[in-house]
Amino acid sequence: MVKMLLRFHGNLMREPVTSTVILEKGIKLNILKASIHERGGEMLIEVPDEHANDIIRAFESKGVDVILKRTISVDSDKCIHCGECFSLCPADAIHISQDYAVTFDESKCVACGICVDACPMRAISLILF
Amino acid sequence: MSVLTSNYEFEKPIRTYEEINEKIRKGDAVVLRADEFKRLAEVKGYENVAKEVDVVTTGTFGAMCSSGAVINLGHSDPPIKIDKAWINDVPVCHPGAAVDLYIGATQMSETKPFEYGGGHVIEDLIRGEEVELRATAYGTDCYPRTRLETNITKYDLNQFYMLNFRNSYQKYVCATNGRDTVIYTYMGKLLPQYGNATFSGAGELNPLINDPEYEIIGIGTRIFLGGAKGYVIGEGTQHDPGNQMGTLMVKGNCMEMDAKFVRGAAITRYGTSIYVGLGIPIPILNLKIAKNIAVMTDENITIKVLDYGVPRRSRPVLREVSYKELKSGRIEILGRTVKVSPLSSLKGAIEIAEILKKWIEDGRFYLSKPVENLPRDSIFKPMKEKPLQREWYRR
Repeated sequence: MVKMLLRFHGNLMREPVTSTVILEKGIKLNILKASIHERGGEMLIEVPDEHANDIIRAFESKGVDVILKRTISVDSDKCIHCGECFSLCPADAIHISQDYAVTFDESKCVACGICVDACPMRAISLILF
Repeated sequence: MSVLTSNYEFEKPIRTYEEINEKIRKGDAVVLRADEFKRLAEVKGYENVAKEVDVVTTGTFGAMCSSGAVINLGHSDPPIKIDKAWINDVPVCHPGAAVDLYIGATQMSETKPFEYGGGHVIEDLIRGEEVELRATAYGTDCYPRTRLETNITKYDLNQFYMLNFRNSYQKYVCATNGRDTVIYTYMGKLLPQYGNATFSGAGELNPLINDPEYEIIGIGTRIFLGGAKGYVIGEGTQHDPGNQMGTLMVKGNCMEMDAKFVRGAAITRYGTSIYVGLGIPIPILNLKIAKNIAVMTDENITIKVLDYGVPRRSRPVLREVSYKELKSGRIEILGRTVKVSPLSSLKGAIEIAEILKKWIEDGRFYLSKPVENLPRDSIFKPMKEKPLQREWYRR
């Protein structure tokens, strides 16, 4: 899955842009986060890899800025593999391997940020919004 | 066979500390990690493994709040008898003479509370980083100075000792949360309605769990502490042998430590703490010691699952669970399977036991016989207090 951040400006705020793209393209996408703030509207979506280019072009043609972003970053120098984050992840993106190393599967991460403040080493940061 | 004969056989010495140290000197000592010993004993029987293995190493790497470091600054000119002091804005305690300070791991920075604390100061000093020291004093005839501001590294100190008054629990509890909201505890972030669970300790790798009768680990036992050699100096506070929750008081030289195994920790809405890496070697002196290690597997070590949503001294016990189940990553609570987080680094625990093994194999670490054993019958009492008033706690 590819995650992309959509930015809606000015008059686009009133248009049902996302529904239009979904109906026109017939592609299912997953909305992970949506908000409206001072910079305009922002939405984080998740799209199957094979449809990513189609979706990017469709949104861009309607005047939406599409930004491809990573969701979280883990500082491996800080992580001590305590595993505190593991049980908090609703998307099962954090694994503990056979040798008890903690690993992150960014393709599964939904950028909820629940793990971030639980890390005692402050090794995890959310890149979005 | 009578009980007496079997006990005699059981406790008959198969090797002594002196013989083991002689083998270490020659580079012949056979050392296994506790987990390796247990797996091998399951296949070959502990009696057979005990014949071949001289030493078993243990390890744990977890948050240990009752930790800190003693430093001696040397004297300023004119001299100061410090009254209050801060390092990187973290208040440090001045419990003794003029320039001896104790950096408590849970003391928080006054400018970055909950994010930076005494544990981080100790880590930064071990890394060789420069820290800012400020102090005030009331001034006396012999110590006239009232104010001090300087930057120091560990190389400017006379002494820099880790002195931890409760470390390395024999085993601990598993925490979950029955409330409707998320809570932030010293056992980590707990999701509402028993949404997850956390546990502490390394289970079968924990030092004290492998010496359940406190025959090996005692005052004077040489250990791995924070990447250097350290010593057990007594039982820790809240030592509770009756509930298999023994603890250790330890000391070590921070000047020689590795910050990889001494890490400041920020536990959201609880405070700051420190992760301490600690490992202890256990000599296989007789079959009883070997059997105790072999029996204490993750499967056989069980702990209580407590509801930390109830903020009382006695929290409701939901069930008993083994470390084997906990380390599988999922346990059942009230009919629902939830994920469990180890709060101690299990990867770190194995690494510490492995390093200690290498030190012994390479002749860099010798075993010491304790000069006193830890108490086996002490009681962990609750507090004597006055009747509780409603305005005395946070709701």
